[in-house]
Amino acid sequence: MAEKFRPIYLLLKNKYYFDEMYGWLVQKVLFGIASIFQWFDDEVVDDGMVDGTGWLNRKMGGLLSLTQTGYVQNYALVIFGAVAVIFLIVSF
Amino acid sequence: MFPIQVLATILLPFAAAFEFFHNPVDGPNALPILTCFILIPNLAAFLIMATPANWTKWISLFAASLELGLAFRVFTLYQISAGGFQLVEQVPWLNNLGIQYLLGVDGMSTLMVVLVACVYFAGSLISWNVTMRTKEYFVLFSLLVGGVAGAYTSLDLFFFFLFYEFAVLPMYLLVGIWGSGRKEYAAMKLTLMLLAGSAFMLVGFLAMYFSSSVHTFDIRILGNLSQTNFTPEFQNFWFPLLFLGFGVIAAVFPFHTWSPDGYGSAPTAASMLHAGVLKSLGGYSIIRVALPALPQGARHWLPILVFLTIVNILYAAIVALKQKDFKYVIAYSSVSHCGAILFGICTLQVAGLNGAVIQTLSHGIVAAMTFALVGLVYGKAHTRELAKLGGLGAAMPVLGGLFVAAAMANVGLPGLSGFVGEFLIFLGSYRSGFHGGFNIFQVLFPTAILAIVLTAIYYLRLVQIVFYGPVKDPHIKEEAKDGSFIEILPIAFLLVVSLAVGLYPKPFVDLSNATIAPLIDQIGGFK
Repeated sequence: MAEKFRPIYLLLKNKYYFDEMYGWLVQKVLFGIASIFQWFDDEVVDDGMVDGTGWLNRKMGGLLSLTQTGYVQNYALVIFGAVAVIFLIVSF
Repeated sequence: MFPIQVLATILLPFAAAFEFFHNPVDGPNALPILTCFILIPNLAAFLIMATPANWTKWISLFAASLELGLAFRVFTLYQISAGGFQLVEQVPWLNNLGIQYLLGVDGMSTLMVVLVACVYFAGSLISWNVTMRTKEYFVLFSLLVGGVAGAYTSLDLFFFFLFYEFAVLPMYLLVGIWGSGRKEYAAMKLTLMLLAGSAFMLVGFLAMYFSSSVHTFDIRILGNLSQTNFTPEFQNFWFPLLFLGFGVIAAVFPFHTWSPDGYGSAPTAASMLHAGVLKSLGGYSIIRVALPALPQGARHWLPILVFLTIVNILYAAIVALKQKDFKYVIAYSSVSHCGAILFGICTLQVAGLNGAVIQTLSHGIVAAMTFALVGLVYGKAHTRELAKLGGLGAAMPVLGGLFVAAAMANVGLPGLSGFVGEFLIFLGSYRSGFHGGFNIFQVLFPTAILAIVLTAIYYLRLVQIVFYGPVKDPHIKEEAKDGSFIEILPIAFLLVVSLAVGLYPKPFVDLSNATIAPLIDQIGGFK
């Protein structure tokens, strides 16, 4: 019998391959999707959005700190320039 | 001798608190029970500071047992038939600004009071073996509890905010000093993100304060102003901001990343308390503040919020599948379960909202239990890497068995608390009404159900990897021992609470419904 109906025999013997299908669905498909989500969570959400916000703040602070030279002459120059600009705007 | 001392330290204050507050508290000589509830952990903190280091754990356990007795007293004193806010304590504080010291509980916050006390008690016992800077640790731990106890009982938004901030700051130090791994990074991330969320909250509170004709922070009054003071445009603008502010506390996607990093690094009791109690404050506050005051805003944004919360549930569950660290799986699981709470809130339906409240209680108990177990396994195996763990069930059968129970409670096995909450949430989402011509819930409902399957997969995977199978590292097997009496006691206690909610949910659902049913009537939700 087994020889005569070999394909049907194998199908029944392996229980319609249901266990294999479940295994494939969870291990390959689901964990494959999970890998993509995991990458997205690590790289895009965490490193990108969250740590990126922190990075942006540090960079902006770094850029702004360039204006703090500690030289009174520099500050006086900026004040003088600003007064000149205001004067020009007001007079024209 | 040792277990007898511990049991005496637990039972005596518990009984004393239960007996002492026996008289109806509405009488003239009544003790302010909710003020005592907030004071006990704070007083414990000061007492610990002032006494020798070897008293520390005993004081903490004594205070926690007292707190537990008080919480069960509140649970029995609350009269469901009368409903509304009870045990109210009102003291004018800054009267001309409309700020008052106003405490009170309704059905929902009664459940939260019980939750706070249960996790405080379990956390005190789990911290028994903390050896590094014990006094400072317990001081901060007690202050953290004092903060959340205040947040759950305050009916004034000013004090609510104050107590919440009180709770966040000790968390920063607990993670930064007693944590593991990248603890400074995690502590900074957790605190900054939670403070950013609370900035949204504060702005929302101030907007409601200035738009109300009476200029008050009283939650009871603000909740009744939705028809008269808050225009639909106002509500549509402010509801999403408040939802976002509270959502950050509940780790809503994409503001959830503080949660896995924070819990991954936090010491055991701190992650128990944060995941179990502080995180639950997010969903609680939406029901307490945002829904009653801004119901039109909630209805307006409903489709987007439902979509966001479903993404939250599924996304966190899928990411949990691929984690390599034991504690990160639990942390993502917690994010997913908090998503379910928010999803339940978004149904705007009686069963769904009741489910959200019960799930808040259940998640608090069960998350505390799983984090306690992860902490114990880490303490014994000295690693949390799933690649190195394996076959621990033979060495620690009791802890392994308790972990299976905790996993099942997370998955939602009938008989445990997780089932009640999740069942009600899904029932509510199925019954919830139409929005804009089609029923968004009946379309998205099956996808949310999928989360149960995913939860089962990652928890069974954890059980299989950590407790069953071959031993991967022989050193772990040699060193790993089963839990001691003091380690098993808190977890067994939490399991009993979870079983109580799971086997006989009626008193808990009735309490929750005492808040939810009038709220649904008031905001015109679905029945």
